[in-house]
Parts: sequence; C-alpha cells; structure tokens
Amino acid sequence: MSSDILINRLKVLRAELDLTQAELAERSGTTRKSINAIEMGRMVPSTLLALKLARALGIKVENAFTLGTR
Amino acid sequence: MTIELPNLGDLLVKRERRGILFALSIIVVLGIGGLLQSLAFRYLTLYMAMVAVAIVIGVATLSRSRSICCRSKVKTERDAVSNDEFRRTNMDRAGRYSFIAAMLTMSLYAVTSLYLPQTILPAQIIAMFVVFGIIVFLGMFLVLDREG
Repeated sequence: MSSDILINRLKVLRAELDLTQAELAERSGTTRKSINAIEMGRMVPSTLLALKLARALGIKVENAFTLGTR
Repeated sequence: MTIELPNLGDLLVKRERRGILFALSIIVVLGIGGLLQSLAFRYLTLYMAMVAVAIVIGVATLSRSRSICCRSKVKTERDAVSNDEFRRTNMDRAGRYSFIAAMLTMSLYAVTSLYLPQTILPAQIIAMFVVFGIIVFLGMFLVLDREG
C-alpha cells in the first residue's frame, strides 16, 4: 500500500538564490534549525510556515512543496 | 560549499539548550536527594526548601537573561526561537513520551505496591512521579531537538 509523502525542493531553491539557511530563516521568521530539519526531511512544515518560506523565496508554495507517493 | 557561521538565532538556541541541561541536572540531583531522604522524613522540610531556592534562582536567572536579551534588540530572534515550529513539535513529542513514561511508572508502582511494604509517604511518591516526568520531558526534548 502506497502512502503520501511531502517532497520539498527547498535546498535547491535556496541554492539557486545563493542564500544560506540562516538567511532564509531570518527572511521567513524561523530558525536555521527548522530550515535544516525541513531540508533533511525530518520535519513537515505547517501551511503557515510553508507559505512564509515560499514568500521568502519569491515563489509559489507548490513550487517548493509537492505531494509524492512512497 | 558554503560554510555557515553561527548566527544570533543559533546562539540563542544553544543558550536555551544549556539552560535546559542545567535545569535537568538540578532536577536529577534534587530528585536523587529526595529519594535518599525519603527514609528520613525529618529532613523533608530542608529538602523542600532546597527545591524552592533552586526554583527561585532558576526563575531569576531566566528573567535576567531575558531582559538583557530584549535590551540588546534581539527580540525578533528570540521570538523566532520561541515560536519555532521544530522546537514546538519536539516539545509536543517530549510531552507525549513523558506522559507515557509517567503512566507506565505509576502502573508498575500500583502493581508492585501490592506486594511490597509501604515505607514512603504518598506525597513523596507523587513528587517522585512528577520529578520523573519532568526528567523524561527535558531529556527527550534535548535528544529530539538536537541538530543532524
């Protein structure tokens, strides 16, 4: 049975803008630790945080986070 | 590859973790002390006074660090750290673990107390469960909230 998982392109998008984790954290009002946890797949962000991250990166939220199956 | 230097948020997180570790050490020491003194009830007042002093010192230290922090215009960073989603998720998980651990310990005690003689006051037993729950909560939080 397949289950849904969250696929995020945060690390790639951040690298494209040449931003550090700390800079992205500052822009989105969170901590570097959270950014690291999201990029490593250890944490699924809330809708609010996902929207904040998308705004900080200047993209739509679905460009950063997509639904995949395992 | 970019090398990321520790920023203000990281320093605040590090300091908070040190504070939690310090609180955990005090609680463990006082918990062990309380357990050892449970056989001599006449020292219970002294023990409770020590706990009260430790709490007052801890609260005073935290208030002091917070006021220094706000004066130096790092309120935004502090808000980001205290409202951090990863931190909150880990606190919830640590809370669940401590609840389960306390419930298991109480169940175990309920069973064993039927066969073992009662030498400890009920208030002390409850205090021990509370201390155990706090220790599990803080310990699990430190483990879950670490990076990497």
